[in-house]
Amino acid sequence: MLNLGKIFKQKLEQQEFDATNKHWLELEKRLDNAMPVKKNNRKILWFLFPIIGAFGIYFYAKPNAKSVLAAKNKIITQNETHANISNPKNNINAVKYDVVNTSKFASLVSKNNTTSENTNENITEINVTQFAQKKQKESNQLAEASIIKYRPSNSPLSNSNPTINKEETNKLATEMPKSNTEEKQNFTKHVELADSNEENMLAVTSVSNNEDKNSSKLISLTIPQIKLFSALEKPSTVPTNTNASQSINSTGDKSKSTNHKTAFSVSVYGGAMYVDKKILSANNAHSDYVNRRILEEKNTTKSTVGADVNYNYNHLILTTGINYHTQSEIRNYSNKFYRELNTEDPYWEIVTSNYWKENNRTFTTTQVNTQVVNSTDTISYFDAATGNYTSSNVSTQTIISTGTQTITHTAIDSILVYKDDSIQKTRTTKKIAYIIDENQNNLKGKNTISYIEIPILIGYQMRYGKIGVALKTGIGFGVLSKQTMYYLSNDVSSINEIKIENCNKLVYNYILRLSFNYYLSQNWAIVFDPNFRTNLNSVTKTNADFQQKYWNIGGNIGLNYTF
Amino acid sequence: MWFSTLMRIARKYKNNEEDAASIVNDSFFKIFTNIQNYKQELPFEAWIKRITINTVIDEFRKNKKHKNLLKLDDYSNTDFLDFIVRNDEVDEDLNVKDILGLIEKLDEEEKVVFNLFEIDGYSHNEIAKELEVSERTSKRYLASARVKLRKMITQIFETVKMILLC
Repeated sequence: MLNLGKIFKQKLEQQEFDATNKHWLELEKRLDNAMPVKKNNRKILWFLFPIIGAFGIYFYAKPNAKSVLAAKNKIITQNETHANISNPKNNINAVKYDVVNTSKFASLVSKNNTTSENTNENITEINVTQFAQKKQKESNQLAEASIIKYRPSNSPLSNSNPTINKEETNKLATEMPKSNTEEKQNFTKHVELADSNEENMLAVTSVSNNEDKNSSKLISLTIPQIKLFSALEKPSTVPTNTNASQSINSTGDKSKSTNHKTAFSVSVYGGAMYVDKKILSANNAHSDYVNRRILEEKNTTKSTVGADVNYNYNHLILTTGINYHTQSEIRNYSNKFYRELNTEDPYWEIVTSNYWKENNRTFTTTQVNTQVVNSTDTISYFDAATGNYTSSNVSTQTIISTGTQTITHTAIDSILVYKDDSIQKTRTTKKIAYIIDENQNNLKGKNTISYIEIPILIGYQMRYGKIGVALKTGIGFGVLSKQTMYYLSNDVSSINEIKIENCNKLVYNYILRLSFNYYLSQNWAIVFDPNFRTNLNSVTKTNADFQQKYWNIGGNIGLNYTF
Repeated sequence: MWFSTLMRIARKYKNNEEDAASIVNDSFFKIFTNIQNYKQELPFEAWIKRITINTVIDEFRKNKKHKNLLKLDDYSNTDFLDFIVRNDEVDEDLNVKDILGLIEKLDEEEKVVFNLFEIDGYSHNEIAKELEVSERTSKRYLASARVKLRKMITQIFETVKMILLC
């Protein structure tokens, strides 16, 4: 008698089981289903890139006084005399502000106590004219003098008072030296320092160059404890007491400026593009298929024309329009094809890849025609009877029914040294043979596939004097216009025509453009934009012989008119 | 090779080969999909056996939720349980088919506990954790299984004896 568990264990260990096919098939099926499907994320990236890029550009370009100041890390402290703050992100012309510690420049700054015309409150006027003149002398640039109106922190209209009346603040801000500006026919800069707890801390002046005359900018900056509003206006639009509140932003950095630059522009262009492509797949294709196509198709350049409509919003640029372009390649197919031969006759297939061949008394190794031959192949050899080099057919040998035959020839080199050579031939009965078809049409020519494309682009633009630069990216929707396409069939047996029903009527393109504008005048500019385009989907349908995506690099030149 | 190994484990928990094959199928699926978690310093056989037993336990747990557990009032006396656990001997004149037939007649819980404890070498503590029951419950199921098996074995031998005497 043994322990129940022990004997059960012993007995059960003796069992043997055979796995059936059914069992493994079921397991295989389950594993197949559980296999994670590899997603083609690349397509998504093409879409995400312009979107993320656009957001990035937008937020980068978005006027943000805090970030400007923080980036410069130059917030003035009590111990400094002044800090220079430039605001290139918000202002194409890069107006610079000198934030000045007035107490350190007491001799150049005058203060007067006065009463506000609009709000009837006691204010302090800080006149930085002398400071501006000093700056102008130092920098050799136009420095605008300003009268800065300072509202005491205990004013009932101060920001520290939660019941602040913004309209009242605006009224104060509009009390500016209008006559001074009109006389100079130049920039007028108006600065209001409001709600400062640091009475001696700040005064502001601007330094700008004459080319900035046409600028019309409103910039609001925030420095700790002090809100600072400044406006640059064209002389003709100098704010007055009655309408200035529209151009002065009284809500500080949180609010949007009111004079963002917006404009529409149109451009027409033409150009050239280099066309290359990627052959993606050819289901059940012959192993030679892709190589043959790469070797026997030549890339080309094609022309393109189009027109764009641009919407400019500060640095942001949105572009759409219409473009006509053609994808193409030059085909130069050889007439060698793999064909199924309708014969019962055996064929000779030359196995040896090369042999000696005489050429002007020099023996060179020559590639044997590797095609299946059913007649002869010719080599040169030295004929001992005549003492000459001559040609002969290798198939003069006895025909063998099966196996491999080696044919030996004797030849000499240019100094009469004998060379033995051989060609190995194998008798084959295979039906698929590599043949030369002299009657195949459309071996040579040009494949073209033309699209009318609507691009939707977003970008970031900058202006450096007369030069404007914009980087744009986005998607193009290409509608198939016409096509002429003959390609090697994927079994390398013939040349097939790809008809329009085998092509995708709509292709999606990723587009990247770097546009350079040279401004001839305020409205007209010459445009040059190098560009990149790639198909996101295949030009052929999935049921076609192959999938193919083109990509282009090119350059356009044209004219732009800004309204 | 491994199929047979895993089938031997699964078969004693299941009443027929088809159900056992299903357990083995699940186990192989887990093995293949978690092969990257296998640590080479451990014996591979032990690893796949453990996966198979865990598969059985998982299924048992799943089914347990929908079933009433066995009433064990008859085996509530701890001393009696220990006596059964200690004194459990059986004639070795049984074949595999007989044994599987006997095990099949046990209730599901008894079968699982008996196999885990007697054949696969789990302790009551481990069984209690795996099956989410108390150790005492595990002992009860084992005792119950042994009593039933002994009764059945006795019946078999008495029947055989009677046949031979006749």
